[in-house]
Amino acid sequence: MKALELALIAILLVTLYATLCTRTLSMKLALENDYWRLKHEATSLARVLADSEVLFYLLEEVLKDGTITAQEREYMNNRIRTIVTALAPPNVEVKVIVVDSNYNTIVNASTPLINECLTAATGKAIYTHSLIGIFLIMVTLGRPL
Amino acid sequence: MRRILSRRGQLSIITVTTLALLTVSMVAVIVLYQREIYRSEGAEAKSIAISEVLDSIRSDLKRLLALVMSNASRTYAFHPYYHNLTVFREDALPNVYLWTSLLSTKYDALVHIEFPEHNNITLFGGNYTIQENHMFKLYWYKPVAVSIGYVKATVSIPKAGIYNKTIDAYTGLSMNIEHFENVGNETKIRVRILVDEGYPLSDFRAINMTVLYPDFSYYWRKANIKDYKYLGMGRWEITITPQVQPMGITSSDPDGVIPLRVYIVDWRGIVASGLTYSGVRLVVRKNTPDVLYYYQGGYQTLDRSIGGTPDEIYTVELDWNFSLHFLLNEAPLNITSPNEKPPPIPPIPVKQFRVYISSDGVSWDLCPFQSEYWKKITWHGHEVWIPVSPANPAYWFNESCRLVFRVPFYTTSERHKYIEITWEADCDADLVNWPTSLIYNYSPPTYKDVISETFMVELIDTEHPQMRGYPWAYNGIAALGYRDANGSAFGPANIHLFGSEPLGGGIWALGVWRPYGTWRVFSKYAGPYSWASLPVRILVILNSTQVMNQATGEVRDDYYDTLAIAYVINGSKYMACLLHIYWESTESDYGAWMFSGMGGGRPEKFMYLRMRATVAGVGVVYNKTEIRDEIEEYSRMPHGSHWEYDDPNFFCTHWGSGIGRALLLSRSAVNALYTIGHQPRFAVTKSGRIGGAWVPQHSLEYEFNRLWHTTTFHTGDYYSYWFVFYQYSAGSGWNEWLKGYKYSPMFLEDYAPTISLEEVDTSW
Amino acid sequence: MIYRLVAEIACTLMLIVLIAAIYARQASITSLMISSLSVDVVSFTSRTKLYSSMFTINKTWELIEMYEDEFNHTLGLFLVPAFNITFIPTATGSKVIVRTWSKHIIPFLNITVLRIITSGLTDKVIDSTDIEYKETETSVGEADFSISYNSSDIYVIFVGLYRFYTYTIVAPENITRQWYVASNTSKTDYIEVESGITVNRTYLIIPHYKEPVEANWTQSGNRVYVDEEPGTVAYILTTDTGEYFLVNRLPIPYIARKGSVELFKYLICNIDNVNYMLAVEVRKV
Repeated sequence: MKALELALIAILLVTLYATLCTRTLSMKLALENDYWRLKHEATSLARVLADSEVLFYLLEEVLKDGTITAQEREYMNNRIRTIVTALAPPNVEVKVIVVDSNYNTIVNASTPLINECLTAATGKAIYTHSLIGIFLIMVTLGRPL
Repeated sequence: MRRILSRRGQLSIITVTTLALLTVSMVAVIVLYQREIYRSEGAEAKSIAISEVLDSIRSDLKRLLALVMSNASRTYAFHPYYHNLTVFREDALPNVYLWTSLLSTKYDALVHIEFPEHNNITLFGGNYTIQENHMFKLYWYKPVAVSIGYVKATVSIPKAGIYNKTIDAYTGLSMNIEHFENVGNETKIRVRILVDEGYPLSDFRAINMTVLYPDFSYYWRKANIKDYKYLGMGRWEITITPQVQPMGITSSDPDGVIPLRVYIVDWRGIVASGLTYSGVRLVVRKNTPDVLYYYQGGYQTLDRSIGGTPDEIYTVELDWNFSLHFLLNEAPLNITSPNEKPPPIPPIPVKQFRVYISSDGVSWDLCPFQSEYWKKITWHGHEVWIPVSPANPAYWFNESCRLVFRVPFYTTSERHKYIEITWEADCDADLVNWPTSLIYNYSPPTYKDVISETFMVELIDTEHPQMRGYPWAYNGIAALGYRDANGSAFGPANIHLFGSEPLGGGIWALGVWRPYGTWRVFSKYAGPYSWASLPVRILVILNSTQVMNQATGEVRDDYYDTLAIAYVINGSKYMACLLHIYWESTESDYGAWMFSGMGGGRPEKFMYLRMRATVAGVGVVYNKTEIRDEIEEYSRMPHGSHWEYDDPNFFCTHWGSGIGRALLLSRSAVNALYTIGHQPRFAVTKSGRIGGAWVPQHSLEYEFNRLWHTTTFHTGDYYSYWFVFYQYSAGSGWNEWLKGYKYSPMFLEDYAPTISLEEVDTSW
Repeated sequence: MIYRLVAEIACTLMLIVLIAAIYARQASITSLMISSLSVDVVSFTSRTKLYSSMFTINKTWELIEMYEDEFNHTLGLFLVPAFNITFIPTATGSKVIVRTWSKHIIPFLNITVLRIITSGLTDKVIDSTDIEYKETETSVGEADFSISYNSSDIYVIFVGLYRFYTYTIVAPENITRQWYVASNTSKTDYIEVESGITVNRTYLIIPHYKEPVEANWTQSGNRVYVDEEPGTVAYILTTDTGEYFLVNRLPIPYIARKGSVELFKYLICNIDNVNYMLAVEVRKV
């Protein structure tokens, strides 16, 4: 009787343990899946933006004289947001940050709901432009709630 | 008993269960880790993710190299004087450091960049090398133009366990101008363009091509690219208008080469610049006779082939029209039709130029040359070429540049020499620092000397007013003080003298009004090349509107203006002085000399060449005049005596004590003597008196007129001429003067060398 | 009894807490990396090297092959040009409409259309009468061309966004063949034609160039080796019998679009230093 009781307790405990494990790990895998996917998509998008020099045709006009006015910055951010949103996968929020070699943020464009995403991942690509300098492109893609 | 046992049993089971659960969880974690890290697919997944990072870094490493190369190649191609690639490479390093630090802070990748040597880069069948630490090289200005760069990077990403992965990047742009021809009223060019390590360029929109052609006045114009067609493997056929006429002659085509400058700029800004020709070969012909004649009791010949002509070395200047300048002679290029005119020397940095010389057109030697800026000015209504300065070798060759080099003819059988003007393809090629025995010693007021192997010239002027060891101070009069190679003085030579000044007591100073000013000396290159000495000649220039009275010290600027250009030539025994004189007002006075050079009392004998038939003297046979010789000794002259001889011609000399010094005039000088002077004289002065003592002179002089006859110069009188001072070794014999006479035709206008085109070189 | 009961309950509770603690510790130290065996998409991605963005022609063919051999039951695959390019006839000629795969308009594009009139392929070399070429720029994602549409002709549409190049080829299905055999280097790839076909001319289609380029080739048996140009995406082969074929060099478009999207990314396809952008979708059935 006692042995049976103890055996039952043991089985109960193990089952409880296994269930807890499975449930949490599955959730983690689900989250990790999302993160993993966003990471790849973001890296690929950053790489494509760098290699196709798309951003830098837009930046070149503005950066040629060395300084950016607030109005130019606003215009540039809008254009970049349009292009990057068009190129990004469907149903994601997008944020693009471009940093120059002095660590100044040149571009910071994002869709409105990016800060409310449950999961987000950032891909980076470095880009050197022969006229205007060295930049790091960081593209963040986020999955909204 | 059973109760105790069952309690112990319970505890055992609990303990066992707990331990088992603990063990299982730890094992599970370990196994999970094992699978994550050590299973091959996990490791592969990680390495693939890393390969994406490395790939991304390599992709931008190429762009970083492109950044450096585009800055350097664009500046080298389009800026007139920033042509030091070493400086560009140094300026590029901060960009490289910025790049690596951006990667390390934002990418967590530690990147170390190296610039190793890379040779055997094969493009268009040729081998190119990038030397260690050079990063990139430009090989331009030939039918093949190559801009190529190579870097290597070592990448470590510690958090991913990746250490010292090596990646390398090649970036470049190359072009081969394969063929060009005129079709209809257009010109078609076939070029092959390769990108990076040799990928054919198939996207013409990725590059910007400019084609330039010269017109007959050597102005480069931009051609219009009408059409382009892709022929495959990077080959493009470009059609341009207008049709460009061929120029010159090539070994394969008597019509010559279509002269074109083609440069391409790719989407990254990298430039490659090519030319359809790679050099111009010319022939310089000497025109001096092999036999000279003189009259000494009968017609005598001087066979110049005996003993050779080791001092027959012409220092010629080639301008961008390929006209040959020698002294004041300008011999344009000898061509039979306008099309035979060769294509211009291209506007590329002078430091890349090379001049080769050959006797047979087969074996060539590199020849020292220097580049000078000359410009034509209107000097009192006359067009006159004056040197401005030595060129800046970093600067492009342009219409003000002259290439100056020596063309020797050591034997009479050598009638011509081949000269090839070409340039190095390697844009790192620097000026060749040729050894020179010419020294300029400048520490005024005591030293302002130009020193060559055979003689020294003290430049007497406002900075150096007195010749060392000479009793009379010149106080700013411009003159040339000659010394031999070991410093023994001959004394000053005055280049133009006029007028007289009574000193009282029946004593007159003669030839008192002499040019007053400062000699400007060019002995080194300008700008960043001031470390390089001029290897061919040192230029000395006087441009003065003033004259000074040597007796009273008075300075005036209303007598005559003097423009004198003198040069001392490396490795030769002569010094030339070109003179332009212009009279501001009409003046008449006693005593007018074209030249007066002291001898320091050392020469023993003297002679001079005579002109006309009816007077005794020595002449050149071409007019077969009846002339007798006149050779004299200074020793026969009493102290203070000044002997004049009539009928002077272009040559006189004095010799003795081991040295002979000849003064050779141009025909224009002789003409000026007779036109202005009417009774010109060759003269010598035995000695001058200072403080009661006779200072020996043993001079050589040319006077416009006899001493106590008035010479009048009128306003606007202008004459230009040259004299050459030639120093030779001579014993005391009576015929030693022939050693100087041997070289006299060299400096006459009618025997000046001439130049013609041999062919245009299109090899690379 | 009471004490024993309490003791037993306490023990049980402690055991539960102990397990919870062990569990919490394990959960917290487990890394986020995924084992490649656990998820099909991840497995497919890692085995076909879709981790990288830079692809060669060979790798795209290997991608398709791997999918068809092992994953076509559990996954869907969509490998296409980077933009959704539609070419339609209009009353005045034809129209090209370009959208991204998320249905957006790109605000600036350079579009060119090359028409190869196939009747000119039968018995002679292509000349300027067999070609029509137009290029234009647009900011609204579409452009009209005066090139008329004929379903038997080959159209090569090139779309460029600065240096983001992509293309599509519209050609009759009956002349399109999947004969290309890729290899690791472009020197050893070849076209495997059906037996009995003797090729007499080959042309290369290079999307960014205004006309097809005639190429050098050799045929040994069924294998035709062609000297490609950088950026060649397709070949046109003509035979002695007047037939002609279009052979694609890239396996696009490949449409097995089933299931829900798991991954969408761009690939940079490097064809001898010329980059064309492709888009790939991996879907889970």
